[in-house]
Amino acid sequence: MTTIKSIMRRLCAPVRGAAAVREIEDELRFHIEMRASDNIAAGMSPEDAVADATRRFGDFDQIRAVCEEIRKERLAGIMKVIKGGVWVILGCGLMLKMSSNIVGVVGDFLILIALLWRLLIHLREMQPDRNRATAALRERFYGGPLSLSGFTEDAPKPVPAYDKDGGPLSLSGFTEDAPRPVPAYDKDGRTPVERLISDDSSDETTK
Amino acid sequence: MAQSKQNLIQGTLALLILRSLSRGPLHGYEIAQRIQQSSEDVLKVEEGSLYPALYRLEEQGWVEAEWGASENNRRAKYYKLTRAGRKQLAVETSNWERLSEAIAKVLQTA
Repeated sequence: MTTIKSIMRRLCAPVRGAAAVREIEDELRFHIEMRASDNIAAGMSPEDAVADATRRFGDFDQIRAVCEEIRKERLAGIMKVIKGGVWVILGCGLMLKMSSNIVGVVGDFLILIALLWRLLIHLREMQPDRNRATAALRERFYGGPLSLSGFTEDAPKPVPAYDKDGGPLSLSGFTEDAPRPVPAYDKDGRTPVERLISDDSSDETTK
Repeated sequence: MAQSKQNLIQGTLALLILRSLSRGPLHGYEIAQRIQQSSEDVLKVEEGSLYPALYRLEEQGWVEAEWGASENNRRAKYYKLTRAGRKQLAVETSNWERLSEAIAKVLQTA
């Protein structure tokens, strides 16, 4: 049932642009409101709680624009299928129209549907492209390191690691057939990476 | 708690999101909270960057979203793992384990 709903939503996606944008905004606002509620529960005044939640969230408009762009990318594939469907319906309609009077009515109906559908697609495509302005922002979100706490624009970018051939260090050297390295756990059951993270945190705390 | 600056490898956020959703559907705010709590406040998702990541995962078919009522009876968008998402989680987890083991070996020997 969920799958059917999901398919239907995807098929209807191209014609529900404004509603989809509203949904993005609703979702982002919900996040800010939840954060503000938690802040109030933690003892902040309502004004401070909202200000803190808004600040922590970041640039609302830019984030919404990035989400919109990703949604549009997803629609691009669906639009190709729909455009193909329009031509198939138009072709069928023209063939039926030529066959006889009774079937020709069905043909007229199909042609009308195809033309209306095409008009709708055309109107959707005429919307101003707001994507270009967000390209740089997308780079920030996807091209750079993961945006986790403490990693800011001012923080040093990670130094790329290179293998002996000068290429970026990757997992390609590990195949499924290769013997798997034995994990090194300490007495608390932590991996070295976990140990480094927690040691690093405790060092900074003591400082 | 002092926040250490961690240069985490690109793609780790996707892994963390997929792992958070492996226990059941969550909305965006809950995902951020789950990651923070599970890591005992070491990892804090930059809140704004969570949503583009979620939309990207949805585009890839690894998560699907549905609107529902939140715990405070507000309308919220819940994300859940798809079958493809579960497979991807297994792949990403395996890759991460291999990477951390590889780094551990380098740290031990270098």
